[in-house]
Amino acid sequence: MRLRSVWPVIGGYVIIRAKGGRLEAFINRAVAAGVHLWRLERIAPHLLVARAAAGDFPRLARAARLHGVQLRIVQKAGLPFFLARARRRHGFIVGGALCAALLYGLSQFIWFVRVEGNERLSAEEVLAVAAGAGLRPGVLRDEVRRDIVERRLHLELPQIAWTAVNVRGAVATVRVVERTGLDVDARGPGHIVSAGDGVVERVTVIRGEALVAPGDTVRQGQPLISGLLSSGSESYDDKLARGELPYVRAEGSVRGRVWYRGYGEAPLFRTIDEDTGRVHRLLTVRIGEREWTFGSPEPPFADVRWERREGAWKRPWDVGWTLHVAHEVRRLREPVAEALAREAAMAAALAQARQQMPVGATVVQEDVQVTIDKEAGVVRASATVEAVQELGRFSPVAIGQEEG
Amino acid sequence: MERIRESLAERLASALDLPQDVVGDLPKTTLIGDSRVLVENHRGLIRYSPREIRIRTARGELVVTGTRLHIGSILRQELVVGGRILHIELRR
Repeated sequence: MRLRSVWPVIGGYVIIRAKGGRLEAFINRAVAAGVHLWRLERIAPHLLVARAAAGDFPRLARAARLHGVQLRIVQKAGLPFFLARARRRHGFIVGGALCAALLYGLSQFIWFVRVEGNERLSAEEVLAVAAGAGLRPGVLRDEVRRDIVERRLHLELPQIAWTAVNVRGAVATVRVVERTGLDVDARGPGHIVSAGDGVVERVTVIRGEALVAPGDTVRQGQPLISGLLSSGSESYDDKLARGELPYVRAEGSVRGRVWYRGYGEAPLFRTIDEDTGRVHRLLTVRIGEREWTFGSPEPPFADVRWERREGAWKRPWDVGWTLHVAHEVRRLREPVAEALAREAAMAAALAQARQQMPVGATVVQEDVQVTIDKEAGVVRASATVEAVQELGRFSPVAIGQEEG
Repeated sequence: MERIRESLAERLASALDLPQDVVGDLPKTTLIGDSRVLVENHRGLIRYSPREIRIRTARGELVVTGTRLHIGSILRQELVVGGRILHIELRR
């Protein structure tokens, strides 16, 4: 909308009816006096309806007098007149204020609670826990403690790995991410086995029987703390006395040293592309589903840098164009300082080694071997990172199978 | 004198490669589809009816004919005619 069409509504305007024989002269006079007239309609040969800014009316009246035209205001419109009318209508003002207050009041409550991201968990389960923590339709927005709701969801629904409560307007959204690969029966029997190769440093057993001691070398998958009780032990006899199988859910911690290896390399030369100034263009024009290509798709240069420009319109027609510009480049080889290449190769090797480490592992020692291959133009680095970390992971036991 | 001044202004605009309507008050008429005519640098209305609108310009009389014609807006320099435009003619 143009400003010229908005301003009269803000400043107020009048719809006038002009009656007389010399209406064109009247219009010319008014316009010459600086009046802006719009939506002029000739109702009859001697009758005209037009609109003008309210402030221009005195000038219009003067022009009308000069040309013997009868002028009448048919309607006053725009914001000032609307406000003036509203001032006289108290009920209207009170009603408007009440409506605004009601809307404001209602917007302070949560009216809808949605659950997003749940797959195996039902929305009802999540909503029930959220309601227990104070998030339900009809509560005041300020009364909802998001941290409490999130904590309660974590505590009561162990299937949830991450959750966030977001309140936007009258809608609260509970976003959940469920755990993947969660052992459905998290209380069943099993062993603690080694998650990787390493040397045991410390063994702490909470339940079960230790199978390894500090200094032992272990392989991936090797049992570290057994969930199968050995015959003769007190707990073994207790289990049998209760008519149960001599299995427990092994619990404990086995920390050990693990070595990670990484490799990295960095070139002793780098290539720089320098534009020669020669270009090759390929234009594709599309109208609807059809396409036309102008120019050869293969540029006549050995080394190129591509640049793509495009434009498309949906209206009034579905058309588009794509211009591919191939700039010919000259590939220049520039030597890289050996120290810099060494640093880069070492950093890459260390990064690759560290990347394999699990969260919670502590680096004890790092060692990097560097070789410079002048023929191939690269610096090669191999890193060994020694870390202390948790070696064990729980492995459930299907009792029937193990016994058989 | 007026004519000489206008002629000089036109020649100057032509020599400097400027649009003719920028120099002096030559009328500029723009037809948008068949529903709107914008006349810049007009010199007033001569006649206005729903079938014909005659506008005074520095180059003569611009006659717009059509059906359900009306004046969308009129300012000192600018005039917009709306309706169904059938014919535009410059009468000298």
